[in-house]
Amino acid sequence: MKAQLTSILRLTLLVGSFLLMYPLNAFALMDAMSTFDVKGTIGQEQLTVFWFTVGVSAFLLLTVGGVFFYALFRFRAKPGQDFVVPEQTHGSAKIEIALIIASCLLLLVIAVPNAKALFVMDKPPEGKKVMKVVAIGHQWWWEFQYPDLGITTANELHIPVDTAIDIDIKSVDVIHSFWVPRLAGKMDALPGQINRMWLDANEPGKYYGQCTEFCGDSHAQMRFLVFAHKQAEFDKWSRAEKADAIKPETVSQVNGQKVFMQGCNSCHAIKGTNAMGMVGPNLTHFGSRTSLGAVMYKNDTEHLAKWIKYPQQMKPGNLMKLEQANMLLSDKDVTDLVSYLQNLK
Amino acid sequence: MSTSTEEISTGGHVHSHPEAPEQGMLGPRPSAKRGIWSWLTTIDHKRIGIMYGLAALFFLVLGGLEALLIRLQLAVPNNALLVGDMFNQMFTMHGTTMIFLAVMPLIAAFFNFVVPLQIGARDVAFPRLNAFSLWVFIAGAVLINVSWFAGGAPNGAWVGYPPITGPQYNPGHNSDFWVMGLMLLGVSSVAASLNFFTTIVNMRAPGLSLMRMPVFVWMTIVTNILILLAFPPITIALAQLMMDRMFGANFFNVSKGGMPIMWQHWFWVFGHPEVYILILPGMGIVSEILPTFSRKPLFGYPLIVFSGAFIGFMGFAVWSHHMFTTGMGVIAVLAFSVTTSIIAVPTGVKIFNWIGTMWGGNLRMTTPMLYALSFISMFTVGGFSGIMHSAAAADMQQHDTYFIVAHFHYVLIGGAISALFGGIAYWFPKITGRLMDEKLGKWAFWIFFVGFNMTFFPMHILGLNGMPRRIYTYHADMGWNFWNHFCTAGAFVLAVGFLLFFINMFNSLKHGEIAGDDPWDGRTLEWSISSPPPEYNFAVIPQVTHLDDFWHKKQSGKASASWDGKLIHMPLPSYYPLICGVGMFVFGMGMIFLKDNMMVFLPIAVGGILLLTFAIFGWALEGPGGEMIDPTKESGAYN
Repeated sequence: MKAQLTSILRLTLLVGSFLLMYPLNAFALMDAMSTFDVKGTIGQEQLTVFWFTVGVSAFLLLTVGGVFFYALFRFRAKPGQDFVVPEQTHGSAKIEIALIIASCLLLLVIAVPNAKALFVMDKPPEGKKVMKVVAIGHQWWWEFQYPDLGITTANELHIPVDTAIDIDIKSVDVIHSFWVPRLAGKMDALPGQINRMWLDANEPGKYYGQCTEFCGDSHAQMRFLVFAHKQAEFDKWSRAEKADAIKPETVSQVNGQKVFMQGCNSCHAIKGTNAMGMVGPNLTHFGSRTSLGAVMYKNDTEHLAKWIKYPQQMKPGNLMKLEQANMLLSDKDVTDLVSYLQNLK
Repeated sequence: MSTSTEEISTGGHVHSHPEAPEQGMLGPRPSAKRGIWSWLTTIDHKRIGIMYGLAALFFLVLGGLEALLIRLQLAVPNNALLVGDMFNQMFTMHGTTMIFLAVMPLIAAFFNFVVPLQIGARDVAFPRLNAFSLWVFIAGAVLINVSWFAGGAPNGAWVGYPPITGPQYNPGHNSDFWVMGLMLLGVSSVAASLNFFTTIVNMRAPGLSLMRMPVFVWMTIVTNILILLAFPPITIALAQLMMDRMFGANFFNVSKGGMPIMWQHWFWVFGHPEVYILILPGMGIVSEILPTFSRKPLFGYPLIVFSGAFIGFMGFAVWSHHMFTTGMGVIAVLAFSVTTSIIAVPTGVKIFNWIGTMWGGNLRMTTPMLYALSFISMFTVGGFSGIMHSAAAADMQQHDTYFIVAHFHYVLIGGAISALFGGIAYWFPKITGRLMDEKLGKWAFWIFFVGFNMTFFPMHILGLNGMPRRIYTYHADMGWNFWNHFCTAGAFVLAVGFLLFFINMFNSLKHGEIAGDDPWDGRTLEWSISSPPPEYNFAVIPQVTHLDDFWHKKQSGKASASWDGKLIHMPLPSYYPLICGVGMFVFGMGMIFLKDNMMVFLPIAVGGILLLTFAIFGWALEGPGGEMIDPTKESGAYN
């Protein structure tokens, strides 16, 4: 009797701890890239499908797992009895057929919400406001273009809330993948191919994104941010972003611009100047960005100065190979460049 | 009592002795029965199986060390142990090593050792081709790992998606090693699959009809059909990538109209069946262990067989579920989502039937049984996460995150490795004549089991919490710190579990309890012969009348038949399979460095091909040969 009780206790503990894991996670996981703490239509649909799959799995775990552990404890050989030969049964057609039909039905429980979610993801609902964005993957940063607004920016995407953002996803080099887990699932950026997805945010806020297709040395550092604003704030941002870059004012900033135009401009563009490089991120309003190096560092004086001096140390493999090209700037030039760039609000 | 050399009994068939030349192109055929040369020239399926197994375990340790380094780097945020490309080499080689150099050859070891014994044959259909497979596998495995000392290991992930592995973005030799190495491994696998398919179809003992075959033999034939059909697509893809890299072709070069997405289709048409190539043999092993230690026949034998075959068939209809996020369009995504979920049905059937086998049995909790039970439970957990991402909408979030990493490690370690280690513990007495220590075995099992779950269960949480895979570092404010730390600790516990298992193996080799022919009260033919088996396996080919024939004979008290007096014809060893392997290795090395210096490496590549050609001719001209063995005089066991 006592042995049976401990067996049952063990069984309950085992099954229970497995079962508890998933719901517990859901409550605990509300971090920066949680797929549970979703604030977008698509993310919500995908989470719903996930819960259906969890429900089916939990049911199977209880039933199949229960029978498994029951059989394990019930039919264990008793000490000294392990030579006993039990009845040699070969199977039962009735049980098999019933189980096959039951598993097919369980799969249907998942298939229906899954199909519904896929069609929701396919295109934005009729009558919803739509804004077009082009997201372009580079090794290892994201370029964002707003074709209707004439804006090009990098690594920080600003969107209005409750608007379907219709995104064309491309790549200029290798395969990347665009993912903002709290808004929607991912879509790959393939060279030579344009993929489309849409997403929306139903609350203003800052949402983390990250490249999820392995893309080389600094794949881990290809992150980005999505800022969702109320419409009025977004309009304010887009007006400022559309304008030309601010002219340098102080002596230091003027020298900084001069330094910039002696090399940086071949890869970077600044609207309103003759810097028109297309290789690196557009820096027209660089000073207004919160982060540096694809959300690798905070955009402050210390990190920016280090970045300009030792880009390879700051982000291995990136195309800014100043160390190798022996293009080390003097400390004064670096300071001036930093103050010029920080002024580009 | 015929002792004539005119009529020879081979696998139940009688045919006349072919006229074999006395001498090959390299003089007399090798005849060493002991020592290093007897192993290098052997064509005995048991010795080949042992060598496959030892090589596989070596690479398992190597891949495991790579995994530990990966876990060390990820233990804390912003770590600087393996940054950028070094980390990429490490996880690429971890995946490649574990799949192609550890699990596949370990499976091949079981095919080699167990299948001929279970079907009552004296060897495989093509013994020299079998040795050829082994040596080409070794050549490919060594070739890939030479890269560590020749400028850098492959670094484009085990899936090797171009353009990241193409010449524009991967100018070194890293991916060249990967492409050539995998091609050699493909040659090895296809040759082996033809061999085992032919063996099982043609060389079964009389009376061993298809539906009397042990389930492991069934899963072997299904797996080998999968290999036969799945390796051509990957070979084509590898050839295209090789041409892009070595000869400036443009299959995947976008600026010249190439299509990188084509690689993904080629790769996964191979890659998904590959997953079943890794797991079906494990299912077969579990289907051997469970009945033995439940003392009951397998519940629903025909359904287990058919669902295995059905899983193999469906394996070719689901490849695009690895590509849900590549923009295939909603209908394609939905279609592959549905076909994928269908696979849950035959998989479920197998799990139900294994539980049915235990039901009403008399379960002995030996080490092999524990591993088999671990297979069922852990594979089921992996199945649940599989159901979760068969729903494409949910997979859009899970794809390429640690959730996927958790899933396939549950299937490959909790599943395949559990079953294979169970298989080692189960057949160890047959292979060596000695039992593995049960007490140490159980310790090893529980540490393995706990360490495995510590390492991989939290990865589900990490993935759902947004951690992408294949990243070398992460920021401290993402909420990933604790579980990453925990996983790393778990990985070391898991490593201790493996280590204890190996210690047990090598210790038992010398000091294990003497096993006898049938230590487990087994059900299949391999337990009817001595441990280790003689060179010719069966002195007299058994007549099979039932499923689980040996068990049936024991129960009905029919002793096994005694020797019928016919001398046993066994093929002779050969140098040529080994020379073929060397030739292919030299050819591969020449090709990899071809574009660096044509004058040096073209002759090397051509030399390799010439060596291979010489070996093939030598092989063809030496004839099958053979010797006559009197089982009363020679023990013939390899140790």
